[in-house]
Amino acid sequence: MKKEELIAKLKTIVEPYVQDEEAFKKLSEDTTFIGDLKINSANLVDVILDVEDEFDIRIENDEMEQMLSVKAAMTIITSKIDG
Amino acid sequence: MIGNDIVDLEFAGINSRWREQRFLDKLFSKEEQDFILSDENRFENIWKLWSMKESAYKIISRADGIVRFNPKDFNCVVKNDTLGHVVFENKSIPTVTQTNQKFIQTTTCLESHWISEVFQLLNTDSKMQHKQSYKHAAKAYAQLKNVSIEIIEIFKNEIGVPQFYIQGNLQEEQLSLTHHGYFGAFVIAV
Repeated sequence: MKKEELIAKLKTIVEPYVQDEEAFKKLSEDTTFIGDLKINSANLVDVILDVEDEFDIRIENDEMEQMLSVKAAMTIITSKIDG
Repeated sequence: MIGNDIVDLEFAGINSRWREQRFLDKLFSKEEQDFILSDENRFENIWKLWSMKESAYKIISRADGIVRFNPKDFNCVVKNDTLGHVVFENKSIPTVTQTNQKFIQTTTCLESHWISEVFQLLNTDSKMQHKQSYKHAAKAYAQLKNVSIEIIEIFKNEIGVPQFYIQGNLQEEQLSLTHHGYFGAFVIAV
């Protein structure tokens, strides 16, 4: 999957939980979910479940702990769908 | 060290997959899930344990400044409707939880004296909520120190922890703020 396509899919997934619209508009690989997008940590697990369903993958707990930014999410997703 | 967390129960139900087993498995241990499913209050039980974990997490992240998402490393022990503790590594962190129909709020404090207050927020814009939360905390702090609210400021330090300043001087009383949906709360260690 192309990088741009992956980012677009992630954007759709996180959008309902975003509390900082400005940061969402500027979303890039360096954007963090909690720090930048102000996603409530209670919703982070919803994001992760949505990612699992969208890409048909399973994310382990130690991987979930790493998924704090767009870049980290892309790395984990790519390693699973290519693997 | 202090931390707190509030869950707006109406908000928690929106856009959340709390009903799913996979949701439980990602956040809660077997023992915690037994507690959650022990009566018909599954929804409230989930958010009670979540607010306990999150408030204890704040104490830990204040200490080292690291952002984590490791809810299963924080293990909740519920003593009764109000009191409990959260075990993280070799630490046991006491918790006080307030539950009503609208919100669940947990305060955790390693100091023995603290003041806390829950307040309603006017809207859900995060910048406005920050402003409002700061105002509530500053007002309480002004009363506590018996000074004018005009000379109190709150700034976040480099790891995002809010701190009180009086006329530009950092104060020692610790502050923790939380907001979710239409509710906010502060706790000040005194």
